[in-house]
Amino acid sequence: MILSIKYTNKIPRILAHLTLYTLGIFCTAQMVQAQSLIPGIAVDKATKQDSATTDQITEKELMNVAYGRQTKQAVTGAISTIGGDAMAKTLTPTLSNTLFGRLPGLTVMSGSGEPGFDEPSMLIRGLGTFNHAGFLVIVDGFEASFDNLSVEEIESVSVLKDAAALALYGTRGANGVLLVTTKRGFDGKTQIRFTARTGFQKPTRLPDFVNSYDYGVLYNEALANDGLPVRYSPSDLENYRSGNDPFLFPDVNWYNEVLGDNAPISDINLTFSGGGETTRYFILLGYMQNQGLYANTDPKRKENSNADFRRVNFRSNIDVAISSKVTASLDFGGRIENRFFPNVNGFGLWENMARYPSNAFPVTNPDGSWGGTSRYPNNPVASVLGRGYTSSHDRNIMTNLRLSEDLGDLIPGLRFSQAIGINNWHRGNYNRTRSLAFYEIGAGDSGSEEPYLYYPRGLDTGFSVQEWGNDQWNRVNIQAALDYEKQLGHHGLTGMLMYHQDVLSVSGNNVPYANQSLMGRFTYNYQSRFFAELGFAYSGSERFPEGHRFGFFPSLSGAWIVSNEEFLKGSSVVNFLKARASAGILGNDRFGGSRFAYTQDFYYSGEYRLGLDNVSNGIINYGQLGNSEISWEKDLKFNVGFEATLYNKLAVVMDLFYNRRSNMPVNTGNIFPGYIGVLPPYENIGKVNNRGFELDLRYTDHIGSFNYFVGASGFFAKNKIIEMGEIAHPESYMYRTGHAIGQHFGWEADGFYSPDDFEANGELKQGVLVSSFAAVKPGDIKYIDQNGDGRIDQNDEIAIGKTWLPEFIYTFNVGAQYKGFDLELLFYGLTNRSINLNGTYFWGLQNDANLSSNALNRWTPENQENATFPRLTTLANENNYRPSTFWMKSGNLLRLRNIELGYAIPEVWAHQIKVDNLRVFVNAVNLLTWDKMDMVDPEAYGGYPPLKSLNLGISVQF
Amino acid sequence: MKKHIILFIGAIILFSSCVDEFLDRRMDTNYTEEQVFSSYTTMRNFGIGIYSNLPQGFDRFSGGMLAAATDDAAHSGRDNSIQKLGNGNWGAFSNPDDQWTALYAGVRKANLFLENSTDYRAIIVQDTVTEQGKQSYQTQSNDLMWLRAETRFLRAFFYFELLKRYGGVPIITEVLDEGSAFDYTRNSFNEVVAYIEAELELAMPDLRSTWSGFDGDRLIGRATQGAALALKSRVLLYAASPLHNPAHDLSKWTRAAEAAYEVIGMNQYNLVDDYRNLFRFITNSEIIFGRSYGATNELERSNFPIGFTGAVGGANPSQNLVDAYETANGLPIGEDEEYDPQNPYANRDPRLQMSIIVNDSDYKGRKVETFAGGLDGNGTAGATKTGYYLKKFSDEGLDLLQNRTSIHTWIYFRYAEVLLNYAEAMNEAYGPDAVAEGTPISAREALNRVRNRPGVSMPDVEIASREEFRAKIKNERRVELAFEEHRFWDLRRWKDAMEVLSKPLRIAVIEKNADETFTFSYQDAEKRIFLEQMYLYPIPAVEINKAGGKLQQNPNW
Repeated sequence: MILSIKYTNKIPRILAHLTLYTLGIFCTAQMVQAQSLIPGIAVDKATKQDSATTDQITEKELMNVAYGRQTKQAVTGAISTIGGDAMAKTLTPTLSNTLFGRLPGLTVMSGSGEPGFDEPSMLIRGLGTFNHAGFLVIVDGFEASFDNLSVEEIESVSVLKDAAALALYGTRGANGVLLVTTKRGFDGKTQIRFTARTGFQKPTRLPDFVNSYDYGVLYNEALANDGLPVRYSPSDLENYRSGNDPFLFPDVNWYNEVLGDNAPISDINLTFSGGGETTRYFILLGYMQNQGLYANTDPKRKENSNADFRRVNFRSNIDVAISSKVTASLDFGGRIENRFFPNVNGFGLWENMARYPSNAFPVTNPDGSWGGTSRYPNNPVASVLGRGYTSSHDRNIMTNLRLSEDLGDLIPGLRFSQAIGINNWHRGNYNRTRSLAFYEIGAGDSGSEEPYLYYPRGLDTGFSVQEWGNDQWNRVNIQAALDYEKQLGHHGLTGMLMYHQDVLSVSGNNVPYANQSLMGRFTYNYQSRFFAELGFAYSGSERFPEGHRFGFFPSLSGAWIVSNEEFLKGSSVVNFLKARASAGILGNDRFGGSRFAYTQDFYYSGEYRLGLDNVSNGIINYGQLGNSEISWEKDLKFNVGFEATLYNKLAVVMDLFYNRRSNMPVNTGNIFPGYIGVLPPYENIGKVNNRGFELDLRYTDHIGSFNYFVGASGFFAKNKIIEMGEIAHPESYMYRTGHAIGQHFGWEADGFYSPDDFEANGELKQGVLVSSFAAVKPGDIKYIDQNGDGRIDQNDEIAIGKTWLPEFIYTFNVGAQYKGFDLELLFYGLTNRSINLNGTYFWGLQNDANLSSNALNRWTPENQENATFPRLTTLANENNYRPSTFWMKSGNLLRLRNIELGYAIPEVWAHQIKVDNLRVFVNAVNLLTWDKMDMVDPEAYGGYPPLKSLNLGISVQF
Repeated sequence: MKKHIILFIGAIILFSSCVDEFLDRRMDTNYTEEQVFSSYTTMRNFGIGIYSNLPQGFDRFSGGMLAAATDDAAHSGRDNSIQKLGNGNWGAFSNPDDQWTALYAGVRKANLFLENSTDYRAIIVQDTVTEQGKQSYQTQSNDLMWLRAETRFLRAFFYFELLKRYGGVPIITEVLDEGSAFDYTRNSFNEVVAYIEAELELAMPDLRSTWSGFDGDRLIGRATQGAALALKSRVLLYAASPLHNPAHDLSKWTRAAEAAYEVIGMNQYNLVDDYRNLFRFITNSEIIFGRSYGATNELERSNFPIGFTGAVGGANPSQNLVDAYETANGLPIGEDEEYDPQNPYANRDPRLQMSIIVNDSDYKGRKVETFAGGLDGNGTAGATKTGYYLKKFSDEGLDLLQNRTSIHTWIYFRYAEVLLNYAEAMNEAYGPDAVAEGTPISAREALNRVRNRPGVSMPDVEIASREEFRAKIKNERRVELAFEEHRFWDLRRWKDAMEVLSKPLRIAVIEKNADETFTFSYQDAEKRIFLEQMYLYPIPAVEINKAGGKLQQNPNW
């Protein structure tokens, strides 16, 4: 896209900076140019900000593409890009969390908010496979995680979406690629930049459970419904109501007891960048700290610890011109991460907080000991405060060395370059944990002095220390490439040929992962009007049998810059217009099951005990059958798109795509009969189609010195299973094939059984639908008999609702800037999405669990019409507690994902305090959410909840 | 500069020549099939592995026991899968005890072992010149000979386990893979019985008679001739029973009696003194075939009364079962005038309190309180639903606070069962007192041997009629073999399930009086459902669907 604000030296530098800051979504003005591996310092010295017109910027501006860069004009693939500045509006330790709604085509779904473990799940262009849907993340040319980089070292993040953009990734490219580029130095005065952000996080939402009095009353009601004797006498209930004896009749809200008000987070970075003709540098030092929500933890982390994440980042990217022909760059990036957690943490702890009834036991007994019972042994407060902590300490070093030689003397336009990337990670663990004595409290014997009796239910073991540290991996990449560039009159030619190999060795008894490719890209353009590109990869993966390891993955694409045609040149309406199309084949070598699915493994596993002394005999077992022909998934991708700039104000990008995944490995357990006695092999029979579009609009304008923009984007992806080796079903509506991956299936609810449906003896009346799941009672959920056989069973299961994954994601983005003030809001919406409620939060009393407030409006003989919850029961109820339209809720939501208000002091003031510029800002993440779920966050529930935050920040540049 | 290009071209040539080596990363910690069947040790360890496919025992339903799906027990939890098997909420789509694929997995392992070890002598052939070499060759080839026979026994056992659940099933004796023809249909019940008999016949000569006293007793637990004969006895007993012998073919009972006598006639097994601790160690002389587990405390956690530290609740014996224990006079409680329903546990068959924890009895150093409001009684989650806890398998002394563990042995065949098999078959074939050639002791004598077992010493049964004697045998089986996964199948093969398993389960409600005495009342509690089709399990619906008409579903499923 085009940087539409005039960006010249005439505008005060600070304003230019700010404009970039707020508008930097599409434009990341690269300051250096290179092809493929050529180090950053290389050739182009002209693209500094002295271009006179936007057209010229367009011509010169470079975009990151697979293993290289191309001018924006020449790019024939579908790529969306965001700059690091926009990402900084979300204060988070994990960079994926900055991408919500920022890159059309990238689905980001939040998960746990636990510090250090808050990676969201991400997909590119929806789901194209029911196997492994994860995609490759490339940082500076090599596969690496970017989540724990500092936001200040990110130049840009691009999502590569179509066959043209992905061609070079071969067997690993079918699910898309995220391309991350770190910042580099430039020819100019040294810039020193200091940024600090700090804020507080809170859960977006917490579930709500009933108090102990309500619990007692409702538990008795449930028992009565079950025909069982009640558990709580009227005097028990009175005691719960009055709260006179908080020990024998406690009322504990575990969320209140375990959690504090909020969790602090801060991030501080210092960067130096600059350089000269021969040497350029970017240097970063960063520190991030994020604590958890747990209250009353020991700040010295001796007895216990809050969830606590601390990270130090450093990076030095150096580019050197060794001679006029040879350039080199050395990137050295690393981080140190320390994570601390309560010994009992994560999903288990949160599940206990939800599951333990408010009357189960007091947090502490009158004698100060921890409360607990055999049935509810893990007192959540004691779990956090009393059982020590676990910690992990990670070190990561990424070292990339690149060399590039200009072979122009030999053949004009030829370059040869080499690169090696070593990425090394190590984790050490140190746990200081103990088991805890806790006591079940009981009433003292009548007449005795002691009002309470304590039954020991756990043993205090004292602290024990566990320390280990052989958790590590090492990745070594080697690349070598030839680049060729030639202009013959109107004909422009480029060619690139590259060899790449990648070995990932993981500690433990693991075999290294290895990939190897030979790939190339050849482009042709005519008068910068027509562009054609052939990309290919001949790539192989270690997962396949000898002779079947390598595949050829070609793609063809083209673009037509309509605005470079005579009839549009100089048009004041259409400033830029490009149409492009691509088609190609990519692969996906990952799927579930055995890593080497081509062979059946025999291995020691398990034991059998024999003899007088109960001796363990190691035994040999075998895994799934092998398929000697097993191969990767193939994805045939089509894409058409156009990009336009109108009136120098409105930027439009639109893409349509259609992907046909085939050859997908499918577990054939649904095909072979069970009497085969072994897991049958994977076979390449699966097929999925995936189609959709992305539309991105941005209008930028100004009214006097009031600059503003309005943006909107929409992204739609819908897949359909064509073949999945599905088991034979007796009814056609039971087939998953033909639906989207992850389509909810369940029963169609039809109100409740009413007392009128039953005879006086409790038997169902003749003609009333029988449930095969349980003996139903009044107030149980009734279902529709889909096949009309008079009974409700597995054969009445149909597709209900949509999928968990939203089909359509949209954003609205507005920003304004006036006299040093700037404001940006990003709204983020998910639609065409369904959530099937289940588990502890929604199915009260199951498995002796707590009861949440959603059950208050339960079915009772008095409340039949308006009930929103079936009759209460203490027993398992397979009729009510199964997926059905009754539990299906809309998962649609609209969020104010980001809001940021900033103020940059005027340049005059800035110079008085000897700085180039200074900006202060406040921002918030997930401040507001509109949705249909009342109790939990619609994006993720269960375990540590998603978070919202309010933050303050400052950035100073010298 | 030319050097670079040459280098690059060289790299490409290198690349194309060594591509496959670079990507050759297969795990060498694993074996291929050929490797496993090329040495004694790996072959042996694969063969022993077939034992691990034996059905699990004890609390195998995530803490629940099969007995909780009979009139012998309830499960204290609220949503254990075993409860579905008792209350009718199971079928072809979900069966808590579905073992179809698990048992065929065992069959496949056995087939693979037998197929690949046919030439075991040639495979392990080695130095037979030196004395040591000869000896080692002899030891190894003997071991594999035994193991092959044991594998036949195990495969026959797997088929019996399929048979009792599903009726006739496809007999598969070859290793199937994705290229095989999958057109198997179900063999008939009698065909599978005949197959099992024939296989056991084949295995017998190469099975050891005992593993005691061999190799330092390190291999006790492997199958023996006694195990094969005991399996045959049980298979023929099932085949003669009303469910599978609707024509009342008496010769089937005769054959079942003869098979049981083959075990009795070995004079190798006897009834041991310590009925209470039968299930701890595999080395007692009553055990014909069992499975030792490594030390655990899951069983104790499930079965210690809930008031004891670490207890979580499990199988609760029912009032129905408690009532089945006779009085010390050898009479049913209803027929003994000395029986006092307000002092129900006095003067009863000693096995009652060896198997079941009753209110106010001593356990782990205190009186058990299953009365309402008692430490172990109704009021807490996991407490008994029936007024009783299970004592049978647990190690009473175990300290769960310290997380101590203990060894347990699940018994597949023990001598008492064989005596009861014999008594039942003899009674059906000849009546309580007659004997015949090959079956020289009477049904009565066999039954009384069990009743007179050391430490139990119940009076002899004196009833004369075959029908009354049958009832006595059924009751003895229920009591003696309680919680050992017999009654669930016995009720089915006797065709008694329809009547017995549709009645609600009975419980004791115990109130403690001010004077420290107790008042007992007995109630119907859990509703149970049994339908005609439940005499056999349905074949899993997915298998029926996958087979595309080749596998016939059992009636009415």
